[in-house]
Amino acid sequence: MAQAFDEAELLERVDNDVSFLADTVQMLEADAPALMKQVKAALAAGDAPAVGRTAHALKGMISNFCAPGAQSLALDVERAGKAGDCAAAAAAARLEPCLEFLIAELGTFIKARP
Amino acid sequence: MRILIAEDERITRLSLTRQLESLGHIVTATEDGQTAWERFKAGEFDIVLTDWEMPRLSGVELIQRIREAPQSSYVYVIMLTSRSDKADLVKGIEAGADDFVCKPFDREELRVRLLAGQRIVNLERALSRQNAELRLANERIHHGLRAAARVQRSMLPQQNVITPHVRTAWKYVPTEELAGDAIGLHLIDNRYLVSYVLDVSGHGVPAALLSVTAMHSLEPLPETTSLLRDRSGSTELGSVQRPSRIAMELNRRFRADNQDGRYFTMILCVLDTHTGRLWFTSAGHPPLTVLRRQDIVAPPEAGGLPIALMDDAEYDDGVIELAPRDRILLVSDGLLEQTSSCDGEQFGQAHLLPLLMAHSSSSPEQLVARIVEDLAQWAGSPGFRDDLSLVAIDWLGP
Repeated sequence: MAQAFDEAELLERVDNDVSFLADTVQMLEADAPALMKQVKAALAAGDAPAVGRTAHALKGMISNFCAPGAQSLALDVERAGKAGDCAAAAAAARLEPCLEFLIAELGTFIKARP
Repeated sequence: MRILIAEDERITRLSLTRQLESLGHIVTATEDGQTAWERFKAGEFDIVLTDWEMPRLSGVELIQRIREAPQSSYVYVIMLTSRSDKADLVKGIEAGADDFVCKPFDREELRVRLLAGQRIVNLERALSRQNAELRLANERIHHGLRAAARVQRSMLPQQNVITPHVRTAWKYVPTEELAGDAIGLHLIDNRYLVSYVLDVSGHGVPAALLSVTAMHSLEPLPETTSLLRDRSGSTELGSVQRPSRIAMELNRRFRADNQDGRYFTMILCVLDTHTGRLWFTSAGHPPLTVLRRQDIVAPPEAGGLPIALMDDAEYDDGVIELAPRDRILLVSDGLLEQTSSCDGEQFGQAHLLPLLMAHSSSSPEQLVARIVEDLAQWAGSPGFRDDLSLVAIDWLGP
């Protein structure tokens, strides 16, 4: 799998404040899986608007971590959900592992820094 | 600057707060539109940064509420949007947002967008300050104008002259607070009635200043310096000066080159109320009207140029022997030149004279009130395009 996020850009974004970055990564770890769960539940319930809304929130969250791949997949889910398109399920299936990978990579990145 | 953030996603909210605080701003961060609205109402903010999709109250609803709320100064609103939300962006700007910033935020872009916002907020504040100063200056000017208008009104006749020989009435309708017209009615030696209407060219404060100065010059007191008084004892008018001499002296005092191009027309009469002999002079003013029962008596032409138009102008007197119950009328051109709201026709002598004849048996008070009433109908409104002055004098007999 390609690099989950742009390290240099991310560090610049937080002014090299790794401690702050660690706080936001913790928030991502806490919030993103819950949102992903909500997306899946909405898909199972056939609630396309809820799929779009939740994916939108997830996309906003991911946008803080310079992770274009995950962000683009979240946008696909949001668009498909808002359009009532059944492609949302496929996009969500791609997003979930991508998101897990991003969280894991960010955790590793933080741990590697004092 | 004091910045209010409305953003439901907590990582974005935290990042934004941190960035803005590092730029030296005072930040209040809220997690939804409704909370942002409550904080907005309770505090003073220079800039609002709002997300689009939020629980309880959306970004566009928040912007609409901010724009509809009465505010002491302008609040600059920046919408937070993702690059994929172009339609939302249009709606947000239409709802009243001033600018937008795309997520994820670029630190430098955010800094310069806030700088632009600060510039607008500062400009708006400077404008508000200047507006407040202008309002204050305007109030001061109006206060001064009202005081000046009170002074001008205090110089008008305080009451009508009513004796066994004569009965007067007058009306004075200025178009602005201060008028360029003036009216005078003075009974001197309990016998000689001096009456005049004068009309300064132009309007507003300069015209009013000249009219007040002229009125002051035409006061009967103090006797030693009053222009109305003759101290040689050579006239047939007791201690009253002949109208032509009064006009000449006025013209000498108001020299043409000292009046900034302003001049005034005047009709001035001196009536010996015991004999009915009327002396008058017209300085370029609409003529005197003399009504004898149902006839108009044409007065002789007498007078000269408007006052302060040309130095050393000469004036002569006209004399009319009034018959008992004769009525004379002095008017300013504001009456004659008032145009009709229907076709623009001027009121003129053509409408004034029939009105005088139709109301020949009315008292002077009733007549002047009726003329103003008819003129308002003619004009289509109670406000006239020029100052209006009107004096009616009934000579009752010896």
